[in-house]
Amino acid sequence: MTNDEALRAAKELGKFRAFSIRGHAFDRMEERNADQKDIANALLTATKASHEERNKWKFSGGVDREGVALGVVVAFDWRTEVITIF
Amino acid sequence: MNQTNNEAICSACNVSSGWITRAATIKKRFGAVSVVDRGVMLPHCGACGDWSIEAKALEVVEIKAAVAAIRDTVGGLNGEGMKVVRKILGLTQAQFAKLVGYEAAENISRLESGDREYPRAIQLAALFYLEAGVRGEIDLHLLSDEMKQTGAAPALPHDARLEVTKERAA
Repeated sequence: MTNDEALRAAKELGKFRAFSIRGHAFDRMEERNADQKDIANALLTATKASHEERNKWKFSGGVDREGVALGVVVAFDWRTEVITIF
Repeated sequence: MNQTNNEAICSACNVSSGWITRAATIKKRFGAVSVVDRGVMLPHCGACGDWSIEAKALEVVEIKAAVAAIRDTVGGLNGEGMKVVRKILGLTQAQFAKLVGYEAAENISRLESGDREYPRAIQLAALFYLEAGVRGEIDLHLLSDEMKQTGAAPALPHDARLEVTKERAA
């Protein structure tokens, strides 16, 4: 998957909220006062995708529903999972 | 919930040691108030123990937690807690102001940032919509879009056998 393809996939995930959230990511959401709709918005508005290890991608440049910068790391495994936010 | 794939590698710890479905502990914070839900059955990684939940399922957990936080806390929530509730309803400050009968978003902004007590009547108005969401009478995910389109709070389904009228003042 190229960076552009990953970014397109992220926007689809955000649009349909078609992702799962890992327990660690949920803890980070509590710290950041973000909820799953904020993550969907951050994926929808992400402007940059960069490949991490294996099938993990980091999406940055997006914002939560209040316009605050929110980045998301997603694993495209048998499930599409949000691993953490930053 | 997604189908459990026991061969799958855990995306958190990169180990494939199977998945066990058991009750997870999900703690949701509403300012000074926390709600712990121990009844959500989720797949846990057999190696690291981390769990996974679908976004839409998490929304249901959050709505139920918000109902409990408002209903079961003496005096209710403070501004920080009600900000979390507003976000669960998916509304902007302006939309939430309209929903509970305030003129302007600034009123909600002041309440959310201040330390003073958040009016119980507004909390109960939010509870009214949250519980309608739990009962499936309204789709809370669409509440914001609906308010954007109509500019008003959505009407809830009513019992057609009951006719409600209001007398005009003489």
